[in-house]
Amino acid sequence: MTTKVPNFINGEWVTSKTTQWQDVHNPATGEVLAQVPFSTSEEVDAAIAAAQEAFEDWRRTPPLTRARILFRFRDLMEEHFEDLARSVTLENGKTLDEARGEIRRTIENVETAAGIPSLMLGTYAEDISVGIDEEAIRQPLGVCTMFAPFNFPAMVPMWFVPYALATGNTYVLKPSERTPLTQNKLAELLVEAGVPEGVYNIVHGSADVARQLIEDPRVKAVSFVGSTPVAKEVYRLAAAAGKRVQCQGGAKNMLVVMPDASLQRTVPAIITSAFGNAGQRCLAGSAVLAVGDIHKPLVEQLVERAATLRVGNGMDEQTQMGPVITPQAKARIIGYIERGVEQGARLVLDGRGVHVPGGEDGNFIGPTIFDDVTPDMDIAQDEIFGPVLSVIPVPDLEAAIATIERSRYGNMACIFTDSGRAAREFKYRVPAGNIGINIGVAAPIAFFPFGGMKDSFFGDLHGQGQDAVDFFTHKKVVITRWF
Amino acid sequence: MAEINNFGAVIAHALELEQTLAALAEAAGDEARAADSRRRARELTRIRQEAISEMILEPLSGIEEISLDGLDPEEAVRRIAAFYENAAEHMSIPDVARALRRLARRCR
Repeated sequence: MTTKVPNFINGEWVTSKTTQWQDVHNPATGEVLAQVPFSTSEEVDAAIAAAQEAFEDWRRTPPLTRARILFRFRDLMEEHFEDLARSVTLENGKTLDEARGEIRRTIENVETAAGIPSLMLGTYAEDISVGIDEEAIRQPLGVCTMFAPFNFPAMVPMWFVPYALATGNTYVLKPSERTPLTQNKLAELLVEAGVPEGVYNIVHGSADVARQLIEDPRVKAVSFVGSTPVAKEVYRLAAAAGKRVQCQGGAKNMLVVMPDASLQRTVPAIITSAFGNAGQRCLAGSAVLAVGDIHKPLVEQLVERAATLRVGNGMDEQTQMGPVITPQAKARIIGYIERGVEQGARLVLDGRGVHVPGGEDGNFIGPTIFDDVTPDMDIAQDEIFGPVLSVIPVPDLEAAIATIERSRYGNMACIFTDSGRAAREFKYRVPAGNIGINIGVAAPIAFFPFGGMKDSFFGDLHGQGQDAVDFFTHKKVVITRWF
Repeated sequence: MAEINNFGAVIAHALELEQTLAALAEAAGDEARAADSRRRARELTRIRQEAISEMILEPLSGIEEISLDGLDPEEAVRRIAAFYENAAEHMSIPDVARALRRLARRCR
């Protein structure tokens, strides 16, 4: 019998009473791993009520005590490191190395949030007027929620959850319905670490669960990471309901390669950026802007290296690229490859026919590279979210920057060059939230905000670090005069 | 022998080598060498867990699997040290390269 994924409400693991269940598949084999519920309205309500009930005690728990729970949570994640990484690979398909990297980053966020006694300090000024003092203190918001994407089942929720809990908020998480298993494992560890009943809750489901969480007046803050259309909608609904909200959307990240770049160092970085996680990450480099004469040797070397990547089941240590998440995603990506060909791009590496022994039921696509792409083509403009790299020849840095400026997205942009001047110009002018200089995946570490501009981010405060602390706290000002 | 193209496979192969060496050393009654090997294996597990970053997982080249078939413990440990040196030279993650060089120095 298939395992039914339970919700976690008020400290209890509860099987949903819903009649709607969805299979969770291993993307590498097609095997059904479990069934996830589309939880009922009553179950969502119970999770919010539990979080609301737990809030008053939790906010009065000293930050040091909350931090100790996070320290224990961190130790438990280290202890269960391999198990968590394998869980990510199993439900998401990424390679074990990628999953280990994800768990490392998950832990780093918990470590950063455990510094809350310092991060949450307020400010104080004497004599703002004669005999009058002023202070600003931080207070938690209440019940907060987050809707997670499938591509980083462990890490992305932890851009928010540890900071929310550390600052004294309570939480209701809705994991991705495609990858719900790892978050349940993390919740087990959080309970073992000592988080009190009701402080942290998980309700599985889809859009209906999210909508109810957004609309419920007891929920004070909403975080989202996913596609741009959904990010916009979540932002619109949450803002209309008067919530604090931060939504990270899609991306079309461009990597500029200048004529003076070292191809020996640049090509592996681009390969990792474009094909890591099978291209399913919001920091995937999906278009290369090849400046001037570097175009031809760059394409030759990219094709040569990408063609040797070993595609397969992520559980095999030798695998360098896993499958995409679903057959539907694979079909969509193939559709983009077909459109690229129709629109006149030159397909120099075709991943459609990739053969993975034993992976006949897996959602595999090999690395795919288009050359001579123009900025008006769909493959140059849309987020494909798969292992497809488009190379766009441009004459100079000005043209490269202009191409990036025209994109509707602004998540990440990178430049590969030996020129400090070119790098500075790029950093200064490019409208993207995360800039890489000779880096292919400019992923901010836990104590920096995870940026994003234009259609890649809606809100002002980002996830991770001090931004997350700001997001999850009110700043209350107190002005005092004693007679 | 096959080429190893990624971080996890390097560590997995090194763990297999250390396991083989520990068994060889134990069979030869060389407990000190077996204990050294187990210590290096623990260090490899730590490296796999702590020195990894999902943003620097570039494909590797120039690292070949090695075999310890037919070697005595002394020869095996020398071969493993050479493997660590070679892997360090081709490793794109600086932390890991340093750790592998450290392991090579600890082979005795």
